[in-house]
Amino acid sequence: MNYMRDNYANAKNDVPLLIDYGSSTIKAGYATSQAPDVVIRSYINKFKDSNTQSNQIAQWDTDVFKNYRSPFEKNLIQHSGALEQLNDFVFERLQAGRHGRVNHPMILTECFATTDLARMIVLEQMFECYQVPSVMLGVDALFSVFQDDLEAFLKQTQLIVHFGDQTVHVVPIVNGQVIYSNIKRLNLGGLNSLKYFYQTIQLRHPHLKFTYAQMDYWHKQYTSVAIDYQLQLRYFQGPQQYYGYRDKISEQNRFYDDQLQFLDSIYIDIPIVQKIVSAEDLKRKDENRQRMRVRLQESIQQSRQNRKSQLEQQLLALQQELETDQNNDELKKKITTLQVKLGLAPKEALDELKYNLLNKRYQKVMHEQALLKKQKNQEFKQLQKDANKFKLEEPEKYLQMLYEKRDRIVLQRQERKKLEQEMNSRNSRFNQKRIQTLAFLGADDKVEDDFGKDDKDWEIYRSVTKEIDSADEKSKYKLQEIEQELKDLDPDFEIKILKSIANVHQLGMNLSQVQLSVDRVRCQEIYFQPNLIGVEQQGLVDMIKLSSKGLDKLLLENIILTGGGAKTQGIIQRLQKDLISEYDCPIAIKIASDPVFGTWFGMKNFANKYQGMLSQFSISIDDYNEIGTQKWEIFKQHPFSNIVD
Amino acid sequence: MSYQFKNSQWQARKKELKSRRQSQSRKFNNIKAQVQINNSAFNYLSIEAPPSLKPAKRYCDVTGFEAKYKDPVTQLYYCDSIVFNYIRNCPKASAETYLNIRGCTQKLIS
Repeated sequence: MNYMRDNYANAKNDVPLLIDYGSSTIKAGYATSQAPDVVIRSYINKFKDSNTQSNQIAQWDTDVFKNYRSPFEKNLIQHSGALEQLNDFVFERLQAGRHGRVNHPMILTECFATTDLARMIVLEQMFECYQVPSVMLGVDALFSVFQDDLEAFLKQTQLIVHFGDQTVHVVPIVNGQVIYSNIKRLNLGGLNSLKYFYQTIQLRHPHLKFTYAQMDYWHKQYTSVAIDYQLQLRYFQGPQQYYGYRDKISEQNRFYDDQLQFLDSIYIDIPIVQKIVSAEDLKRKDENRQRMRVRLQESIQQSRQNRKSQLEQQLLALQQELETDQNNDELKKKITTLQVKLGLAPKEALDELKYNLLNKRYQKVMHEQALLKKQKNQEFKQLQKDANKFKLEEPEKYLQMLYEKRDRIVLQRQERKKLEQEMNSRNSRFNQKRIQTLAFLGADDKVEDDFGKDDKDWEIYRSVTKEIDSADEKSKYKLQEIEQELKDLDPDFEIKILKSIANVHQLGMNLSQVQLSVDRVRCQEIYFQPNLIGVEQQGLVDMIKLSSKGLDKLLLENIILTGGGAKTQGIIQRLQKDLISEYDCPIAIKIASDPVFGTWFGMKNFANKYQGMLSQFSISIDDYNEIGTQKWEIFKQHPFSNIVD
Repeated sequence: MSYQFKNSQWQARKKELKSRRQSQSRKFNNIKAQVQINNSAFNYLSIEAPPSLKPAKRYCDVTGFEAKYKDPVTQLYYCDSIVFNYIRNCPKASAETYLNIRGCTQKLIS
């Protein structure tokens, strides 16, 4: 911190302060420093403490898709409150101002064709809140390709493709003149790609929980743009699909095969996290349990004693009644039951009361029943023994039998499920049949009604009932038992069943493993096929075609990719392959020297080299006070500006 | 919290500016209205890339492969019978999220 203070103290009042407002990250710093001093995410979280409510700048690993506010909407600044908090953070870090003002000339970025409101919000805040001496507004895409020399920049012919976090711009520049009418914007970016990646994986694995940081890492590490999307998909689908397709179409184009390098699918194991409990915790839990047990025992004993004393009192009262009227049988019965309950008399005394006459007969029946039970038990044990013998002597046959059993149950369950689904929908064949039979039964125009003469007549009602027998749960438990046994006996069970042909796509398997196959290319494909995520616009190739239409063909030899999205693998090869098939002129594509921080460095180079021009290009506070933000005269035209005459 | 680099009268001024902006025009509420005020040929909506003229390719919503079929009940695209079984058995909410990802915002009727 001390080092920073010393560093910033050197920054004098006339050193320009550069801020690049990106929709994912804000980069800010003095023109004299080597690299941007402050790089933060442009998201804000409402941080709720127990006492105070305050706002928090988002960390790098926080989940942006949940409850985070951003000043940007589709790359436009729309929310002034969030922007003010971010600006406060930046100026405090930079220690930029004192006495109610930030006394540095500013250079800020905006996107192409910003609306009046967005510009108004920024200018009002800068001039009224921070009382900045002057502000220069420039376009980020233009700054990002600016090297050193302004004169060289004003002679260049190039096509900029700027990949933002929420938008993609295609900008043609002919002889240093930006062709404003041919600029095109695509309303998606890196954030949409990441969100698509996140959602599709989370939907396939609902039992696993992924963090934002994890997803961000996978997205950066494993995804890339497919050079030939259709072929890549067929490659993922399996060798049969792929070679079948290739044979038909391009067997002769062998050289094309060598250029394509297909991605393979990646398997990532996700460890199941177990809570580690320390020995002390276990001890404490055990002690607690014992204490609870003692307390329970005490309470049970007390309740028992209470009950006993109540019963004894009842007995005394009954015995006193018996003395007065000795021939009462009911009283005698009551007294014996109470005595049995208290343990004063044996239990057989009760049986004598119940079965005075039927006693002998009853004993006979009981004896027969007991014999039957024994016999059944013996038979069951014999069966078990036989099964065990069978298991030991012929294990393969036993396994086969188990598999057959399992298949039978699975089939039954599938059929039952089908039936259930048919019942739910109104127009199904089952329901139509049911209504037909009901109408037939309810019809009045029969001459002779002989329904019910035969017992089989009643079976027709079975086909009408909507209830399914409750065997579903039973079969479920049975299936679980059999599968458990199979798992124990057969080590290849999971491969046989779970990874069989019936489960090529690994759907609904609840494994602790994530397969990244199509996901590796699908999320980056949205630049070329925006309809994948429901954006009804042209792809990147068509956009480049449209914006270079009727212009110099030299544009296509100088295509420059900037912005964070330009770092994705394979994007140059893909663009080259698609553009070569469209044009017959040479095509050259390159990535800017620093795609992410290029804008800030362009601003820095400009501010350092052309300090004299800064006052000419920027809006001063006097202008603002005189004219206000409503009129066009306030905005200055310069090589990086948004303004068209 | 007060910072030393901020104008002390900013809080009052902010309210004033906000109320003025609201009273001036309610049109600022969406981007389309903001552009109408701007009223030049080069504006935020005019540089948007137009919709594509090529027919959109259909991809399986679950697996991502090329899809030949469409399920009439859930409106999802699918590539083979395995995925079809999965779609029919999965809960209605997840089918709707699959649709939302593709940009279809329609509610499924049981």
